[in-house]
Amino acid sequence: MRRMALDLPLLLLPGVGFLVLTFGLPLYWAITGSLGLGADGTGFTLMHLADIFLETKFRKGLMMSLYYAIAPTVLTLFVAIPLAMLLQKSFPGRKLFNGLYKIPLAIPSIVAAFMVLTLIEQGGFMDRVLVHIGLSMPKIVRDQFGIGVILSTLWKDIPFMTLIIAGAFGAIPKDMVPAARSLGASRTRAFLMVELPLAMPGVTAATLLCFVKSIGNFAAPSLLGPAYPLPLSIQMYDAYREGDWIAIYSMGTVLIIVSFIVLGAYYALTARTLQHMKREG
Amino acid sequence: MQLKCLAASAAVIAAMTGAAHAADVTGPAFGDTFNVTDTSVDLSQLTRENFYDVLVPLAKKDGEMTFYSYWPPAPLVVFQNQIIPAFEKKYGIKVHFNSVETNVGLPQLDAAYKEGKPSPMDGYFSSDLPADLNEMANIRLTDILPNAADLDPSLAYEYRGIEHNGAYVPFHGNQTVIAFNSAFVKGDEVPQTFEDLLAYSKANPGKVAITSPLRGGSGSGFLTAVSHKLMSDDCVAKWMDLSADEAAADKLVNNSECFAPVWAYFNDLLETAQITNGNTDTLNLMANGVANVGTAWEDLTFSYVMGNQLPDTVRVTILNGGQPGGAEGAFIPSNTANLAAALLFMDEILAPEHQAWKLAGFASRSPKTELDASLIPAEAQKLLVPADIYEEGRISNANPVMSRVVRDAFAANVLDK
Repeated sequence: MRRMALDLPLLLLPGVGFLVLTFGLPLYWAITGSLGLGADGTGFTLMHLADIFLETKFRKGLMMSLYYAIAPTVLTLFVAIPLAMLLQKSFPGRKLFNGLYKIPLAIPSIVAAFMVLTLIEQGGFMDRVLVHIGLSMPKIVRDQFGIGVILSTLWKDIPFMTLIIAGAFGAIPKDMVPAARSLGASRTRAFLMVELPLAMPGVTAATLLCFVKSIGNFAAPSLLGPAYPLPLSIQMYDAYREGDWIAIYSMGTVLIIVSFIVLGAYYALTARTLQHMKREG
Repeated sequence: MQLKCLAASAAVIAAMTGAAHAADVTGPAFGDTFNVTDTSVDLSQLTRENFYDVLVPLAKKDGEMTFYSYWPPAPLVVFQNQIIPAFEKKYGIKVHFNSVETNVGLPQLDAAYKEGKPSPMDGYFSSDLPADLNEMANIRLTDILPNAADLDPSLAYEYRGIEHNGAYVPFHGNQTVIAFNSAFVKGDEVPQTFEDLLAYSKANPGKVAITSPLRGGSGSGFLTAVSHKLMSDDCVAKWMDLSADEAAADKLVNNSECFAPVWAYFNDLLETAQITNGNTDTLNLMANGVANVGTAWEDLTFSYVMGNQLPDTVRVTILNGGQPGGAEGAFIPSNTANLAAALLFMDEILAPEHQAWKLAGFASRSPKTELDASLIPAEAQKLLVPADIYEEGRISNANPVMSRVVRDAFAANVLDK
């Protein structure tokens, strides 16, 4: 028994040790640094973290980071769910479509951002085409709503989310919907009350992954976003250029906290859905 | 945090050195003693006169050295194709060359310095100085390098508002400018003053591109130029005080009326002008024909035109009142392991034949007074600021802490509105 108690930590050591070294240690440095306890610190203080919420450029930067994470994630969700549903059906060209829609997954974010820039920038490719029919592109690069950033993120995230959600829908037993329909549920009701709840773990996982990916998005906001406010990802890079590590630690810690809150919400939502499903039998 | 450290270092250095740059050329550039870890060279005895006699044998013993350069196209080519081959042939010292961005190379140096290890490079052509100036060898290079004898004094001891007192050797002159496409902006329309620029923008909404001071040097340079022009003399004097610390900067920028006309000008201008995400972003808007006028760097605009990335109708000028300019340069890390070779190489980069080659081939301005733009082929001359405007138009920068406080205030008073 005592031997087993010793064996378990030893068996776990490589995996846990790797995680602690590669994830835990940098996280520890970031958090302690933001509390003024790092190598550059002057002693424990919450002021550096408070600055992120008190200083206008940081506070607005945080809001911009959240906007760049939430807006494309929500929009992606509205496209990816119908698309994932469509992929469950059989239609002519389905196989080709199934292969083509995944292509953006293989394109790096920075390339996607440059593609959007050259296509939709004023004076860009689309603009040069439209000019022949007397039209011009509206300003959607460097605009205050970050439309270019959102378009670029959507282009990357829709296939990503569709892939995960299609898998979740595909895992639902095929007789569930017919059973619901035979009991009198409309097509919409069967979707909302049967399919969507059953696919919810996949939907929430995809949403979470897209959110976390987008909140640290750097390339698209840097190329396509408005010059102000700058999301925290860009401000972290600027702080790095100026050697301001405390600002980097503080912004990083706040972004981590936000991501953990979303992760917590994901776990809570998943647990509630599973509980509800168990209760409903 | 490190900016505060840098400002403090700069202030201490400014106080220690004062204006008497050439008082003791054999003493350290800053601090009481030389800070180099390689003690093979007796720096207290090194002068312009005995430079080669002392260093050549020691440098040959080093046998090799490593030089870093950040990205600008012209210096990269000049280092690789001209200076390094000539240096290797002349002294038989192998130079390992790496192109490393400033924001990558300086942290490498910082890490090695803090660990007490030799620096990864023996010389670095960088766009910034290390945050901790003690990471630079505190040698009055501009006073003891034989090839530095004819350096423009205004470039020899200070860089972007930091007094290094000769430890940073100016190499590649650059200048913030107003670029305009002469195919669309003709004759009287070419802005000569800040008021002209504002008027042009109002008459042609969306046709003026201003680089955000938060994202590019041509933008922060333009902010400096506007401030220089529109503030009172008293405010300019306080603003250009190189020893100003965070408190002084905050008092001047946020708790006085000094910058009110500057914010008013920008708020007016940005009603019709576009603000961009960087120097290249501005030039891209001009390349796409969206903007006709933009804030830019002279050397970058030149490279773009020569590389057919901008129409050859693009020209540059400096607005009346001046725009910031200077010269990027190279320094020797204090923890170099090949000091003699590094010193010899620093001298080589200022050799007249290399500087002339750089000037004639790439219109890369020289910090040496004896080499002027007349060496540049006539065809390329038209892409540079006209000589009479250039001589009068160059102004310097405030110190880094002041510049950062002004940028933050710009965000709050202009961009946030």
